[in-house]
Amino acid sequence: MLELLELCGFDPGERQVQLPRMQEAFARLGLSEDDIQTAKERLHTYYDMELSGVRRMMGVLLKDMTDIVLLRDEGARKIIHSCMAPGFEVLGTAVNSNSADVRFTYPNFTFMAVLGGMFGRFTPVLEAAEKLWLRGGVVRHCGMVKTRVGLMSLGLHPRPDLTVTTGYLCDTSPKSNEIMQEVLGIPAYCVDHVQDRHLAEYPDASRATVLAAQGMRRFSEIVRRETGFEVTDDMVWGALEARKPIGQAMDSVLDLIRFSDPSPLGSTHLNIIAAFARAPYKQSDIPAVVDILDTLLGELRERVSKGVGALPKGAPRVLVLCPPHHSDPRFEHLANRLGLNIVASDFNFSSGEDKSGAGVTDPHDPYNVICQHPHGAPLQCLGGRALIILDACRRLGIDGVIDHYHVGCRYMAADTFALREDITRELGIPVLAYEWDNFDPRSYNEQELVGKLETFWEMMRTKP
Amino acid sequence: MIIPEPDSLMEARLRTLAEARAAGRKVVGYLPGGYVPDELIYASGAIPLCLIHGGQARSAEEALSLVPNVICPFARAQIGETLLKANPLYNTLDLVVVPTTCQHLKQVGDVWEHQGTVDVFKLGVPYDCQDDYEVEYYRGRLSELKKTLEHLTGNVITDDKLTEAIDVYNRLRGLLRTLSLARRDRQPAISTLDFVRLNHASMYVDPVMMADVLEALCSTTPAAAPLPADRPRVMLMGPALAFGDYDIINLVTEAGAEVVVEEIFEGIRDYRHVVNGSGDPITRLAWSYLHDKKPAAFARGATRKKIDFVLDLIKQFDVQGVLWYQLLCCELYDEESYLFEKVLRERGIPMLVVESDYHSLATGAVRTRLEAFVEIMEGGPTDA
Repeated sequence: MLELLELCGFDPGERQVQLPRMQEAFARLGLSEDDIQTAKERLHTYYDMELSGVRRMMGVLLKDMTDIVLLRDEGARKIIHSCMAPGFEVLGTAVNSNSADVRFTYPNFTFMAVLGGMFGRFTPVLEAAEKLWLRGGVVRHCGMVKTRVGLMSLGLHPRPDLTVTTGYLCDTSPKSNEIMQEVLGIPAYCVDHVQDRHLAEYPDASRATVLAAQGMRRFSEIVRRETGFEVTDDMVWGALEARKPIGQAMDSVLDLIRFSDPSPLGSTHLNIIAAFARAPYKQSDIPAVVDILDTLLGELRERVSKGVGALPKGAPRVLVLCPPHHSDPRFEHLANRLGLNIVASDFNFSSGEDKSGAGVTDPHDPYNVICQHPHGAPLQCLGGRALIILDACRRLGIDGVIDHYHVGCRYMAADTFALREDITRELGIPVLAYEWDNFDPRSYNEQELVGKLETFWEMMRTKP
Repeated sequence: MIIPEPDSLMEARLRTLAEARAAGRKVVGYLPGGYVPDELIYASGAIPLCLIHGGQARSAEEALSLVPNVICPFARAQIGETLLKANPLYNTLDLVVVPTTCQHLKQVGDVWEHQGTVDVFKLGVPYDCQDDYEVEYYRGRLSELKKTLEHLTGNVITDDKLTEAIDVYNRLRGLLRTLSLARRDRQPAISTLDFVRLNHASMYVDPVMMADVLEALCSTTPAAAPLPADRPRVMLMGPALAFGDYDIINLVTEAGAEVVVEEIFEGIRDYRHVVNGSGDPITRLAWSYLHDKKPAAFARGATRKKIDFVLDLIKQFDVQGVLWYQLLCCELYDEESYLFEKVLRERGIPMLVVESDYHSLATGAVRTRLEAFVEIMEGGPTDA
């Protein structure tokens, strides 16, 4: 265990503090010495543990998972659970920074990165959900939603006092929370926007952002009702300001990866960076989080300056549609091994109105400022998403697109063929489309993937 | 009761459709689920057609060139019908209104918009209606639809016209409600198959003509040989029952039971709700369609309300078992089936889940399961 903590960037003092906590958490998670051994091997296989920034990111994720498992033991009176809830990390920071005993969690990405990516022990979580209302098989329920239900049913996430999700592009997630409310008695809330934008309206998303902001504000009222803790606008403003440097530091790292040749970091890290940046940190912890990203940026810049790459120079540049796999690094690792450089996901891009601030309709409402994610590629109508993808491909000099569409998400899956048509027609680059579950390691079939990726590589090489 | 032949009503509709098109009238299709007020389309002078064809593998499979098979067969069938170009009801559309209800139907709107073969109006339906702002959002979108329809048809939708249209559809829904309630009798004078086919016809046929037909039907004396009284009574539940998707009802009958009531989201006109109130008709429509009726499965907070509603129907219609007729890859109803099965089991009501992808349902496996289900309802072996 101590070796694992050292590998994950904990200094000697931190190791002493964290050791008993992690021993307790690991016992509850069913992680044995053998699992720890496996984790060390997987970390060296799939991640760049030479880099201090990567080691420390892994350490933060490990600690976040431990914090969640031990929430009740360590005094959380009320727990608010969030999942598939973009923007709620800000509200989480507001709650966690200002309340002594109400805790706000955003656990899925952390558990996927740690239990899945690091330990390779994620399948039991999904199987637990499949024994309940998210059965396996042809219906293809979403692995993200299964994760939430599985973590709770196994007791790995303490029973919360309130759950929140969003229905920005999902029916399953809100319905699952409602069923949890019926079966387990946990109050559920959902924030929505309405997916009624026409392509002709692009990039205007004001209807969606205003409605989402109203729903998020209502959620804060429900937090007060269910926990007794009042989230004030000042707290939300404070959290927004405090989290800005995380976004800026992450963008710097991602831009360096996207625009460097050779790429200084393997594609397995894209998911880790995203998971790391999403946790609802306390404001007091944020400087350390930013320092980790800055450290990573410095290390990567050094590599770039020396021409050192995780992939060969000139490796074909690939955009993936839907993010890299959240609980299993094998796919991105395999793609890199075969010489493909996955530089970004369309989920990283938007119409730009969120970043420029042009999408904010009420700058005096912190909820309106938070709820700008409807500008992002995944929340657009099909035509809007296509425009963003085409633009990203042009800007990044993409050689080919892999649309490993998340089969659990009908919203994403239905876009696939149209996007392929637009990309090949407009850009003349190949698109490899196949279904997978973005959160389920059982999607991985190496033999099949090697065949697909090698063919794809050949298509990029021989394109006119 | 002499049940009018829905096919003849449909043939009449096709004839009038051709004539109306020749006279310059517009045809506006919309997708089902009960969130697009046909009143608005009717008041604009356009012909409203609720697009609910399905049940056949061919149209659902045709759509696989545009969407993968995790999109449910009903949604795919809507795309497929437009691709096949063989169905005149889908070939004459000047505009399609697609409500943002379940993810599958929503995607149909996106695909149509991307294909550019028909103009699409995406009608935003908030998933919740706890607060006024959600009803106000929906009202705003209805106002936008009104403008779009006025632009399309060149007609102004006056308050008077809209109020008149509300009356027309209230009458139609009321008559369907009366007919439906007749099935509460131990020996119902109308079968569910006939009821469903009439309900389906009401999605296409001129509403005044349809209401006249239903009124005549309701005023006739029941026939001498109604349905048998001693068969187990079944409720049919599920996400969609398309025009043409009748095998499941027939199979229940063949297995020795009768479907006596249905609780279906898409494909059945929601005859249980009434547009009430006075004043601004758009506001009345907004409140009625979003707020004052049983919420659909996709709506937030719908689960508990739906459970209560279903339990009430079971009591009203003296139902002995629930047949959960689910379409393949319908994740929403699949989740719900777990909860409903549990709730019903606690009350001693058996529930059977049958899934369809619009390939032949009448296979041995489905028949055997239905026969076992009937046996259980009749008090036979529970380990079947």
